[in-house]
Amino acid sequence: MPTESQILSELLAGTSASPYVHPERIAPSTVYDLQYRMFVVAACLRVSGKVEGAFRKISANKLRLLQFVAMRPWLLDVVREWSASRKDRQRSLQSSQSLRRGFLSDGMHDNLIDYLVATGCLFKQKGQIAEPISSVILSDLFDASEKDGLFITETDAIRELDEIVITNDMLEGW
Amino acid sequence: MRSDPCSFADKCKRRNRLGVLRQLTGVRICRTDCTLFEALSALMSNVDAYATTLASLTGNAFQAEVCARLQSAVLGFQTIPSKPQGDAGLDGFSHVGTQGYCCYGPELKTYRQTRSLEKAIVDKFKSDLRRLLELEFKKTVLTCCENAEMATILPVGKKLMHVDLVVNWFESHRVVGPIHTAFLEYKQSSKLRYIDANATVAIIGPTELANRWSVDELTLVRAQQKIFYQSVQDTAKTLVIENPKTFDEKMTLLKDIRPDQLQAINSLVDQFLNKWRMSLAFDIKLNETMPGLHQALEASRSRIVTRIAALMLASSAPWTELGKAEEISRAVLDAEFGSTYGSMMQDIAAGEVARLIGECSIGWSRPGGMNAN
Repeated sequence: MPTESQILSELLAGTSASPYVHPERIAPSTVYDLQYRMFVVAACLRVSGKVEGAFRKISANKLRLLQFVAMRPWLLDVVREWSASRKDRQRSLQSSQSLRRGFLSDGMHDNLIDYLVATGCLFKQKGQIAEPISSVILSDLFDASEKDGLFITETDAIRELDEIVITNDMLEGW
Repeated sequence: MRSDPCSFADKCKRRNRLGVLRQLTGVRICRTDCTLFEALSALMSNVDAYATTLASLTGNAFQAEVCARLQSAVLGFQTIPSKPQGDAGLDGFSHVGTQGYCCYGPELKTYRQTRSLEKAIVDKFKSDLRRLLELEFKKTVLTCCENAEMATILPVGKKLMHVDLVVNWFESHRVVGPIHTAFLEYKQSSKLRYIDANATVAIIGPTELANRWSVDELTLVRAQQKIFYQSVQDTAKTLVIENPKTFDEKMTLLKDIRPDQLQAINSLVDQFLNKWRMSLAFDIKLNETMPGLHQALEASRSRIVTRIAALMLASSAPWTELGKAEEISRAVLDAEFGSTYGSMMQDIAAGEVARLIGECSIGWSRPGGMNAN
Protein backbone atom coordinates (compact mmCIF):
# COMPACT_ATOMS: atom_id res chain seq x y z
CA MET A 1 0.00 0.00 0.00
CA PRO A 2 1.53 3.32 -1.02
CA THR A 3 2.37 5.85 1.64
CA GLU A 4 0.90 9.36 1.62
CA SER A 5 4.09 10.87 0.26
CA GLN A 6 4.22 8.26 -2.50
CA ILE A 7 0.66 9.18 -3.49
CA LEU A 8 1.59 12.85 -3.47
CA SER A 9 4.70 12.07 -5.50
CA GLU A 10 2.64 10.20 -8.10
CA LEU A 11 0.10 13.02 -8.31
CA LEU A 12 2.80 15.59 -8.97
CA ALA A 13 5.09 13.46 -11.10
CA GLY A 14 3.01 13.69 -14.22
CA THR A 15 2.80 17.47 -14.10
CA SER A 16 5.17 20.27 -14.87
CA ALA A 17 4.78 21.71 -11.35
CA SER A 18 8.12 22.73 -9.89
CA PRO A 19 9.15 21.62 -6.42
CA TYR A 20 10.84 23.81 -3.86
CA VAL A 21 12.38 23.08 -0.51
CA HIS A 22 13.01 25.65 2.21
CA PRO A 23 14.63 23.83 5.13
CA GLU A 24 15.13 27.16 6.89
CA ARG A 25 11.37 27.66 7.08
CA ILE A 26 10.84 24.81 9.53
CA ALA A 27 9.80 26.34 12.82
CA PRO A 28 11.62 24.81 15.77
CA SER A 29 9.61 23.91 18.84
CA THR A 30 9.33 26.92 21.09
CA VAL A 31 10.47 24.81 24.01
CA TYR A 32 13.97 24.91 22.52
CA ASP A 33 13.87 28.57 21.67
CA LEU A 34 16.57 30.42 23.55
CA GLN A 35 14.71 33.72 23.75
CA TYR A 36 11.50 32.07 24.87
CA ARG A 37 13.25 30.15 27.60
CA MET A 38 15.14 33.24 28.66
CA PHE A 39 11.81 34.98 29.00
CA VAL A 40 10.46 32.16 31.19
CA VAL A 41 13.51 32.31 33.46
CA ALA A 42 13.20 36.11 33.59
CA ALA A 43 9.53 35.79 34.53
CA CYS A 44 10.31 33.22 37.26
CA LEU A 45 12.94 35.54 38.72
CA ARG A 46 10.68 38.58 38.54
CA VAL A 47 7.59 36.91 40.00
CA SER A 48 9.12 34.49 42.51
CA GLY A 49 12.62 35.87 43.08
CA LYS A 50 13.56 37.72 46.25
CA VAL A 51 15.73 40.81 46.19
CA GLU A 52 18.76 40.43 48.44
CA GLY A 53 21.32 43.22 48.21
CA ALA A 54 22.39 43.71 44.63
CA PHE A 55 20.79 40.51 43.41
CA ARG A 56 17.39 39.03 42.73
CA LYS A 57 17.61 35.40 43.86
CA ILE A 58 15.67 32.19 43.52
CA SER A 59 16.41 28.62 44.60
CA ALA A 60 17.89 26.70 41.65
CA ASN A 61 15.62 23.74 42.31
CA LYS A 62 12.54 25.91 42.56
CA LEU A 63 13.44 27.67 39.34
CA ARG A 64 13.75 24.29 37.64
CA LEU A 65 10.22 23.36 38.70
CA LEU A 66 8.68 26.78 38.03
CA GLN A 67 10.00 27.10 34.50
CA PHE A 68 8.94 23.53 33.66
CA VAL A 69 5.37 24.07 34.82
CA ALA A 70 5.19 27.60 33.36
CA MET A 71 5.70 26.11 29.91
CA ARG A 72 3.13 23.39 30.66
CA PRO A 73 0.52 25.21 32.74
CA TRP A 74 -1.93 22.32 32.67
CA LEU A 75 0.36 20.66 35.24
CA LEU A 76 -0.53 23.26 37.90
CA ASP A 77 -3.11 20.95 39.45
CA VAL A 78 -0.45 18.32 39.98
CA VAL A 79 1.80 20.74 41.84
CA ARG A 80 -1.15 21.79 44.00
CA GLU A 81 -1.87 18.18 44.92
CA TRP A 82 1.77 17.47 45.59
CA SER A 83 2.03 20.56 47.81
CA ALA A 84 -1.12 19.61 49.73
CA SER A 85 0.38 16.24 50.58
CA ARG A 86 3.81 17.55 51.61
CA LYS A 87 3.32 17.10 55.35
CA ASP A 88 2.23 13.54 55.00
CA ARG A 89 5.06 11.44 53.63
CA GLN A 90 2.81 8.47 53.08
CA ARG A 91 0.38 10.58 51.08
CA SER A 92 3.20 12.32 49.28
CA LEU A 93 4.24 8.97 47.85
CA GLN A 94 0.78 8.62 46.39
CA SER A 95 0.99 11.84 44.41
CA SER A 96 2.24 11.93 40.87
CA GLN A 97 5.78 10.83 40.12
CA SER A 98 5.59 11.77 36.47
CA LEU A 99 5.86 15.49 37.09
CA ARG A 100 8.99 14.91 39.16
CA ARG A 101 10.49 12.79 36.42
CA GLY A 102 9.57 15.48 33.91
CA PHE A 103 11.13 18.50 35.52
CA LEU A 104 14.17 16.67 36.85
CA SER A 105 15.09 15.42 33.40
CA ASP A 106 14.76 18.83 31.76
CA GLY A 107 18.33 19.00 30.49
CA MET A 108 17.58 22.00 28.30
CA HIS A 109 17.09 24.10 31.44
CA ASP A 110 20.55 23.15 32.71
CA ASN A 111 22.05 24.16 29.39
CA LEU A 112 20.19 27.46 29.46
CA ILE A 113 21.34 28.32 32.98
CA ASP A 114 24.92 27.41 32.09
CA TYR A 115 24.66 29.69 29.09
CA LEU A 116 23.21 32.57 31.10
CA VAL A 117 25.88 32.16 33.77
CA ALA A 118 28.59 32.07 31.12
CA THR A 119 27.29 35.29 29.60
CA GLY A 120 27.14 37.00 32.98
CA CYS A 121 23.35 37.37 33.07
CA LEU A 122 23.08 35.08 36.08
CA PHE A 123 25.25 33.79 38.89
CA LYS A 124 25.13 30.53 40.80
CA GLN A 125 25.36 31.12 44.56
CA LYS A 126 25.10 28.10 46.90
CA GLY A 127 22.00 26.51 45.45
CA GLN A 128 20.59 29.85 44.37
CA ILE A 129 20.38 31.45 40.98
CA ALA A 130 21.05 35.16 41.23
CA GLU A 131 20.44 37.93 38.75
CA PRO A 132 22.27 41.23 39.31
CA ILE A 133 19.72 43.97 39.78
CA SER A 134 21.84 46.12 37.48
CA SER A 135 21.57 43.57 34.66
CA VAL A 136 19.02 44.61 32.08
CA ILE A 137 19.02 41.71 29.61
CA LEU A 138 16.52 39.46 31.35
CA SER A 139 14.51 42.20 33.02
CA ASP A 140 14.13 44.12 29.75
CA LEU A 141 12.95 40.94 28.02
CA PHE A 142 10.34 40.44 30.71
CA ASP A 143 9.21 44.09 30.69
CA ALA A 144 8.93 44.20 26.91
CA SER A 145 6.91 40.98 26.78
CA GLU A 146 4.63 42.07 29.58
CA LYS A 147 4.08 45.47 27.97
CA ASP A 148 2.99 43.78 24.72
CA GLY A 149 0.84 41.23 26.52
CA LEU A 150 2.95 38.30 25.37
CA PHE A 151 3.25 34.93 27.10
CA ILE A 152 0.43 35.72 29.49
CA THR A 153 -0.28 32.04 30.07
CA GLU A 154 3.26 31.43 31.28
CA THR A 155 3.35 34.50 33.52
CA ASP A 156 -0.04 33.67 35.03
CA ALA A 157 1.13 30.12 35.68
CA ILE A 158 4.20 31.38 37.53
CA ARG A 159 2.00 33.73 39.60
CA GLU A 160 -0.28 30.81 40.48
CA LEU A 161 2.74 28.69 41.35
CA ASP A 162 3.97 31.46 43.60
CA GLU A 163 0.81 31.04 45.65
CA ILE A 164 1.47 27.34 46.13
CA VAL A 165 3.76 26.29 48.96
CA ILE A 166 6.78 24.59 47.44
CA THR A 167 9.27 23.53 50.09
CA ASN A 168 12.89 22.48 49.78
CA ASP A 169 11.79 19.16 51.20
CA MET A 170 9.50 18.69 48.21
CA LEU A 171 12.21 19.64 45.76
CA GLU A 172 15.09 17.78 47.36
CA GLY A 173 13.97 15.48 50.10
CA TRP A 174 12.08 12.67 48.45
CA MET B 1 5.71 40.02 2.37
CA ARG B 2 6.20 37.04 4.58
CA SER B 3 7.63 37.61 8.04
CA ASP B 4 10.79 35.85 9.09
CA PRO B 5 9.67 32.68 10.90
CA CYS B 6 12.64 32.92 13.21
CA SER B 7 12.01 36.49 14.33
CA PHE B 8 11.14 37.02 17.96
CA ALA B 9 7.78 38.53 17.04
CA ASP B 10 6.90 35.50 14.96
CA LYS B 11 7.97 33.17 17.75
CA CYS B 12 5.75 35.10 20.14
CA LYS B 13 2.78 34.75 17.81
CA ARG B 14 3.39 31.03 17.41
CA ARG B 15 3.82 30.51 21.10
CA ASN B 16 0.66 32.43 21.89
CA ARG B 17 -1.26 30.33 19.37
CA LEU B 18 0.28 27.20 20.81
CA GLY B 19 -0.49 28.42 24.32
CA VAL B 20 -4.14 28.87 23.45
CA LEU B 21 -4.27 25.47 21.83
CA ARG B 22 -2.57 23.79 24.75
CA GLN B 23 -4.64 25.67 27.25
CA LEU B 24 -7.77 24.53 25.50
CA THR B 25 -6.70 20.92 25.22
CA GLY B 26 -5.18 21.02 28.68
CA VAL B 27 -8.38 22.22 30.26
CA ARG B 28 -10.45 19.74 28.34
CA ILE B 29 -8.15 16.87 29.09
CA CYS B 30 -7.39 17.54 32.71
CA ARG B 31 -10.66 18.81 34.05
CA THR B 32 -13.61 17.64 32.05
CA ASP B 33 -12.64 14.99 29.57
CA CYS B 34 -9.78 13.34 31.33
CA THR B 35 -8.10 10.91 28.98
CA LEU B 36 -6.41 7.93 30.45
CA PHE B 37 -2.88 8.94 29.67
CA GLU B 38 -3.35 12.46 30.99
CA ALA B 39 -4.74 11.14 34.22
CA LEU B 40 -1.87 8.76 34.56
CA SER B 41 0.72 11.35 33.72
CA ALA B 42 -0.61 14.00 35.97
CA LEU B 43 -2.98 13.11 38.72
CA MET B 44 -2.46 9.62 40.07
CA SER B 45 -0.13 7.71 42.31
CA ASN B 46 1.94 4.96 40.73
CA VAL B 47 -0.26 2.24 42.23
CA ASP B 48 -3.48 3.87 41.05
CA ALA B 49 -1.97 4.64 37.69
CA TYR B 50 -0.81 1.04 37.27
CA ALA B 51 -4.22 -0.34 38.24
CA THR B 52 -5.90 1.98 35.74
CA THR B 53 -3.44 1.01 33.06
CA LEU B 54 -4.05 -2.67 33.68
CA ALA B 55 -7.79 -2.09 33.50
CA SER B 56 -7.40 -0.48 30.10
CA LEU B 57 -5.37 -3.32 28.61
CA THR B 58 -7.19 -6.10 26.85
CA GLY B 59 -6.50 -9.44 25.20
CA ASN B 60 -2.91 -10.42 24.60
CA ALA B 61 -1.61 -7.04 25.78
CA PHE B 62 -3.23 -7.58 29.18
CA GLN B 63 -1.89 -11.10 29.46
CA ALA B 64 1.58 -9.99 28.42
CA GLU B 65 1.62 -7.25 31.05
CA VAL B 66 0.33 -9.53 33.81
CA CYS B 67 2.98 -12.10 32.96
CA ALA B 68 5.69 -9.42 32.85
CA ARG B 69 4.54 -8.15 36.24
CA LEU B 70 4.51 -11.62 37.79
CA GLN B 71 7.85 -12.40 36.25
CA SER B 72 9.42 -9.35 37.86
CA ALA B 73 7.78 -9.91 41.25
CA VAL B 74 7.62 -13.70 41.70
CA LEU B 75 10.86 -15.62 41.66
CA GLY B 76 10.47 -18.64 39.43
CA PHE B 77 7.37 -17.45 37.62
CA GLN B 78 7.05 -19.43 34.42
CA THR B 79 5.02 -18.22 31.44
CA ILE B 80 3.37 -20.78 29.19
CA PRO B 81 3.64 -20.08 25.45
CA SER B 82 0.25 -20.55 23.83
CA LYS B 83 1.69 -21.51 20.45
CA PRO B 84 1.86 -23.95 18.82
CA GLN B 85 0.30 -26.56 21.10
CA GLY B 86 -1.83 -24.26 23.28
CA ASP B 87 -1.41 -23.32 26.93
CA ALA B 88 -3.77 -25.97 28.30
CA GLY B 89 -5.74 -23.24 30.04
CA LEU B 90 -2.81 -22.09 32.16
CA ASP B 91 -0.99 -18.84 31.35
CA GLY B 92 1.76 -19.29 33.90
CA PHE B 93 2.81 -21.00 37.10
CA SER B 94 5.18 -20.40 40.01
CA HIS B 95 6.25 -21.97 43.30
CA VAL B 96 7.59 -25.04 41.50
CA GLY B 97 4.32 -25.74 39.79
CA THR B 98 2.05 -25.38 42.78
CA GLN B 99 0.60 -21.98 41.99
CA GLY B 100 -1.12 -21.31 38.69
CA TYR B 101 -2.27 -18.16 36.88
CA CYS B 102 -5.01 -17.66 34.29
CA CYS B 103 -5.55 -14.30 32.59
CA TYR B 104 -8.53 -12.81 30.87
CA GLY B 105 -8.71 -9.33 29.38
CA PRO B 106 -12.08 -8.89 27.68
CA GLU B 107 -12.62 -5.93 25.37
CA LEU B 108 -14.77 -3.95 27.78
CA LYS B 109 -16.21 -1.62 25.14
CA THR B 110 -17.96 -4.53 23.47
CA TYR B 111 -20.11 -5.22 26.55
CA ARG B 112 -23.00 -2.84 26.87
CA GLN B 113 -24.37 -4.41 30.03
CA THR B 114 -22.53 -5.30 33.19
CA ARG B 115 -24.43 -8.56 33.31
CA SER B 116 -23.07 -9.75 29.99
CA LEU B 117 -19.53 -8.82 31.03
CA GLU B 118 -19.93 -10.72 34.30
CA LYS B 119 -21.17 -13.73 32.36
CA ALA B 120 -18.24 -13.57 29.94
CA ILE B 121 -15.75 -13.51 32.82
CA VAL B 122 -17.47 -16.35 34.65
CA ASP B 123 -17.72 -18.44 31.49
CA LYS B 124 -14.09 -17.88 30.53
CA PHE B 125 -12.65 -18.78 33.94
CA LYS B 126 -14.97 -21.75 34.35
CA SER B 127 -13.76 -22.96 30.99
CA ASP B 128 -10.10 -22.55 32.06
CA LEU B 129 -10.76 -24.39 35.31
CA ARG B 130 -12.47 -27.26 33.46
CA ARG B 131 -9.40 -27.61 31.26
CA LEU B 132 -7.07 -27.65 34.25
CA LEU B 133 -9.29 -30.22 35.92
CA GLU B 134 -9.61 -32.21 32.69
CA LEU B 135 -13.36 -31.90 32.41
CA GLU B 136 -15.73 -31.09 29.60
CA PHE B 137 -19.44 -30.85 29.12
CA LYS B 138 -20.99 -33.51 26.97
CA LYS B 139 -24.38 -31.95 26.41
CA THR B 140 -25.04 -30.89 30.00
CA VAL B 141 -23.12 -33.64 31.70
CA LEU B 142 -19.69 -32.94 33.17
CA THR B 143 -17.35 -35.69 32.04
CA CYS B 144 -13.65 -36.38 32.36
CA CYS B 145 -11.34 -35.82 29.43
CA GLU B 146 -7.60 -35.69 28.99
CA ASN B 147 -5.68 -32.44 28.84
CA ALA B 148 -2.53 -33.95 27.38
CA GLU B 149 -0.55 -30.72 27.29
CA MET B 150 -0.70 -30.32 31.08
CA ALA B 151 1.67 -33.22 31.43
CA THR B 152 4.30 -31.29 29.51
CA ILE B 153 3.72 -28.04 31.39
CA LEU B 154 3.80 -28.78 35.12
CA PRO B 155 6.85 -30.42 36.72
CA VAL B 156 6.37 -34.17 37.11
CA GLY B 157 4.50 -35.03 40.27
CA LYS B 158 3.46 -31.47 41.03
CA LYS B 159 -0.13 -30.31 41.44
CA LEU B 160 -1.51 -26.81 41.61
CA MET B 161 -2.46 -25.79 45.16
CA HIS B 162 -3.81 -22.40 44.19
CA VAL B 163 -4.90 -20.67 41.00
CA ASP B 164 -5.08 -16.90 40.56
CA LEU B 165 -7.63 -15.84 37.99
CA VAL B 166 -6.44 -12.42 36.82
CA VAL B 167 -8.95 -10.23 35.03
CA ASN B 168 -8.92 -6.63 33.78
CA TRP B 169 -12.36 -5.84 35.24
CA PHE B 170 -13.37 -6.81 38.77
CA GLU B 171 -16.07 -4.44 39.85
CA SER B 172 -18.83 -6.86 40.63
CA HIS B 173 -19.03 -9.54 43.28
CA ARG B 174 -21.35 -11.49 41.02
CA VAL B 175 -18.42 -13.18 39.34
CA VAL B 176 -17.09 -14.49 42.66
CA GLY B 177 -19.74 -16.95 43.75
CA PRO B 178 -20.30 -18.72 40.43
CA ILE B 179 -16.58 -19.28 39.85
CA HIS B 180 -15.86 -20.57 43.37
CA THR B 181 -18.96 -22.77 43.29
CA ALA B 182 -17.99 -24.19 39.91
CA PHE B 183 -14.45 -24.87 41.12
CA LEU B 184 -15.74 -26.90 44.08
CA GLU B 185 -18.11 -28.77 41.82
CA TYR B 186 -15.42 -29.44 39.21
CA LYS B 187 -12.98 -30.75 41.81
CA GLN B 188 -15.53 -33.35 42.86
CA SER B 189 -15.91 -34.59 39.28
CA SER B 190 -12.24 -34.44 38.35
CA LYS B 191 -9.54 -37.08 38.57
CA LEU B 192 -7.40 -34.28 40.06
CA ARG B 193 -4.27 -35.19 38.13
CA TYR B 194 -2.95 -31.62 38.04
CA ILE B 195 -4.94 -29.85 40.76
CA ASP B 196 -4.75 -30.72 44.43
CA ALA B 197 -7.97 -31.71 46.19
CA ASN B 198 -7.52 -28.83 48.63
CA ALA B 199 -6.61 -26.31 45.94
CA THR B 200 -8.08 -22.83 46.07
CA VAL B 201 -8.82 -20.11 43.55
CA ALA B 202 -8.91 -16.34 43.85
CA ILE B 203 -10.10 -13.72 41.42
CA ILE B 204 -7.62 -10.88 41.06
CA GLY B 205 -8.61 -7.58 39.47
CA PRO B 206 -6.35 -4.72 38.37
CA THR B 207 -6.41 -3.03 41.78
CA GLU B 208 -5.64 -6.24 43.62
CA LEU B 209 -2.73 -7.01 41.32
CA ALA B 210 -1.40 -3.44 41.55
CA ASN B 211 -1.59 -3.52 45.35
CA ARG B 212 0.08 -6.87 45.70
CA TRP B 213 3.62 -5.52 45.17
CA SER B 214 5.08 -2.04 45.03
CA VAL B 215 4.83 -0.25 41.71
CA ASP B 216 7.92 1.51 40.43
CA GLU B 217 8.36 3.82 37.47
CA LEU B 218 9.70 1.05 35.26
CA THR B 219 6.63 -1.10 35.87
CA LEU B 220 4.38 1.82 35.14
CA VAL B 221 6.21 2.87 32.00
CA ARG B 222 6.20 -0.69 30.69
CA ALA B 223 2.45 -0.96 31.13
CA GLN B 224 1.84 2.51 29.78
CA GLN B 225 3.79 1.83 26.61
CA LYS B 226 1.13 -0.69 25.74
CA ILE B 227 -1.57 1.95 25.81
CA PHE B 228 0.54 4.84 24.66
CA TYR B 229 -0.50 4.42 21.06
CA GLN B 230 -4.16 4.52 21.98
CA SER B 231 -3.65 7.54 24.20
CA VAL B 232 -1.84 9.43 21.43
CA GLN B 233 -4.73 8.64 19.11
CA ASP B 234 -7.22 9.88 21.72
CA THR B 235 -5.31 13.11 22.23
CA ALA B 236 -4.93 13.58 18.47
CA LYS B 237 -8.71 13.58 18.18
CA THR B 238 -8.94 16.52 20.58
CA LEU B 239 -6.35 18.59 18.72
CA VAL B 240 -7.22 21.21 16.16
CA ILE B 241 -4.59 22.36 13.70
CA GLU B 242 -5.39 26.01 13.85
CA ASN B 243 -5.66 27.61 10.43
CA PRO B 244 -3.48 25.28 8.33
CA LYS B 245 -3.57 27.93 5.62
CA THR B 246 -0.34 27.03 3.87
CA PHE B 247 -1.20 23.37 3.79
CA ASP B 248 -4.65 24.14 2.40
CA GLU B 249 -3.21 26.43 -0.25
CA LYS B 250 -0.85 23.75 -1.42
CA MET B 251 -3.60 21.17 -1.62
CA THR B 252 -5.85 23.61 -3.48
CA LEU B 253 -3.07 24.18 -5.96
CA LEU B 254 -2.64 20.45 -6.31
CA LYS B 255 -6.33 20.16 -7.15
CA ASP B 256 -5.92 22.88 -9.78
CA ILE B 257 -3.00 21.04 -11.27
CA ARG B 258 -4.71 17.63 -11.13
CA PRO B 259 -8.47 18.27 -11.47
CA ASP B 260 -8.83 14.64 -12.60
CA GLN B 261 -7.77 13.38 -9.15
CA LEU B 262 -9.99 15.36 -6.79
CA GLN B 263 -11.19 12.35 -4.84
CA ALA B 264 -7.70 11.00 -4.34
CA ILE B 265 -6.45 14.42 -3.27
CA ASN B 266 -9.29 14.87 -0.76
CA SER B 267 -8.51 11.49 0.72
CA LEU B 268 -4.81 12.37 0.83
CA VAL B 269 -5.59 15.63 2.65
CA ASP B 270 -7.60 13.77 5.30
CA GLN B 271 -4.85 11.24 5.83
CA PHE B 272 -2.15 13.87 6.08
CA LEU B 273 -4.14 15.96 8.55
CA ASN B 274 -4.97 12.92 10.72
CA LYS B 275 -1.36 11.94 10.91
CA TRP B 276 -0.22 15.49 11.46
CA ARG B 277 -2.47 15.57 14.53
CA MET B 278 -0.98 12.25 15.65
CA SER B 279 2.46 13.72 15.31
CA LEU B 280 1.44 16.76 17.37
CA ALA B 281 -0.11 14.55 20.05
CA PHE B 282 3.08 12.48 20.22
CA ASP B 283 5.03 15.72 20.60
CA ILE B 284 2.83 16.89 23.49
CA LYS B 285 3.01 13.56 25.31
CA LEU B 286 6.79 13.46 25.21
CA ASN B 287 7.11 17.10 26.16
CA GLU B 288 5.05 16.65 29.33
CA THR B 289 6.92 13.90 31.04
CA MET B 290 9.98 12.96 29.02
CA PRO B 291 11.86 16.10 27.99
CA GLY B 292 14.90 14.05 27.05
CA LEU B 293 12.93 12.10 24.47
CA HIS B 294 11.26 15.28 23.27
CA GLN B 295 14.67 16.74 22.62
CA ALA B 296 15.50 13.66 20.58
CA LEU B 297 12.29 14.16 18.60
CA GLU B 298 13.23 17.75 17.84
CA ALA B 299 16.67 16.68 16.66
CA SER B 300 15.08 13.95 14.52
CA ARG B 301 12.82 16.52 12.87
CA SER B 302 15.80 18.57 11.90
CA ARG B 303 17.51 15.52 10.40
CA ILE B 304 14.37 14.58 8.48
CA VAL B 305 14.03 17.94 6.76
CA THR B 306 17.73 18.09 5.98
CA ARG B 307 17.76 14.67 4.38
CA ILE B 308 14.62 15.20 2.35
CA ALA B 309 15.81 18.61 1.21
CA ALA B 310 19.22 17.27 0.22
CA LEU B 311 17.67 14.49 -1.85
CA MET B 312 15.10 16.67 -3.58
CA LEU B 313 17.47 19.51 -4.34
CA ALA B 314 20.15 17.24 -5.72
CA SER B 315 17.87 15.09 -7.82
CA SER B 316 16.81 15.55 -11.42
CA ALA B 317 13.57 13.79 -10.51
CA PRO B 318 12.56 15.57 -7.28
CA TRP B 319 9.03 14.14 -7.25
CA THR B 320 10.47 10.65 -7.08
CA GLU B 321 12.52 11.73 -4.09
CA LEU B 322 9.45 13.25 -2.44
CA GLY B 323 7.89 9.79 -2.61
CA LYS B 324 10.65 8.61 -0.29
CA ALA B 325 9.96 11.32 2.30
CA GLU B 326 7.98 9.09 4.60
CA GLU B 327 10.53 6.33 4.31
CA ILE B 328 13.29 8.76 5.28
CA SER B 329 11.20 10.15 8.12
CA ARG B 330 10.46 6.64 9.37
CA ALA B 331 14.12 5.63 9.26
CA VAL B 332 15.18 8.68 11.25
CA LEU B 333 12.42 8.29 13.85
CA ASP B 334 12.95 4.53 14.13
CA ALA B 335 16.55 5.08 15.10
CA GLU B 336 15.46 7.09 18.15
CA PHE B 337 12.04 5.72 19.02
CA GLY B 338 11.61 2.47 17.11
CA SER B 339 12.46 0.18 19.97
CA THR B 340 9.99 1.88 22.32
CA TYR B 341 7.19 3.16 20.14
CA GLY B 342 7.74 1.04 17.03
CA SER B 343 4.15 0.40 16.06
CA MET B 344 3.19 4.06 15.87
CA MET B 345 6.22 5.35 14.01
CA GLN B 346 4.60 4.84 10.60
CA ASP B 347 1.85 7.33 11.46
CA ILE B 348 4.20 9.77 13.14
CA ALA B 349 6.52 9.64 10.11
CA ALA B 350 3.62 10.54 7.80
CA GLY B 351 2.59 13.27 10.23
CA GLU B 352 6.05 14.77 10.10
CA VAL B 353 5.90 14.90 6.28
CA ALA B 354 2.50 16.62 6.51
CA ARG B 355 4.01 19.08 8.94
CA LEU B 356 6.82 19.86 6.51
CA ILE B 357 4.26 20.63 3.82
CA GLY B 358 2.09 22.61 6.22
CA GLU B 359 4.94 24.63 7.66
CA CYS B 360 6.31 25.74 4.30
CA SER B 361 9.43 23.60 4.06
CA ILE B 362 8.29 21.51 1.11
CA GLY B 363 6.00 22.77 -1.62
CA TRP B 364 5.34 23.05 -5.30
CA SER B 365 4.56 25.85 -7.67
CA ARG B 366 2.04 26.07 -10.48
CA PRO B 367 3.64 25.28 -13.83
CA GLY B 368 5.06 28.62 -14.91
CA GLY B 369 3.47 30.35 -11.91
CA MET B 370 3.96 31.37 -8.28
CA ASN B 371 4.64 29.22 -5.24
CA ALA B 372 1.77 27.99 -3.12
CA ASN B 373 2.95 29.50 0.11
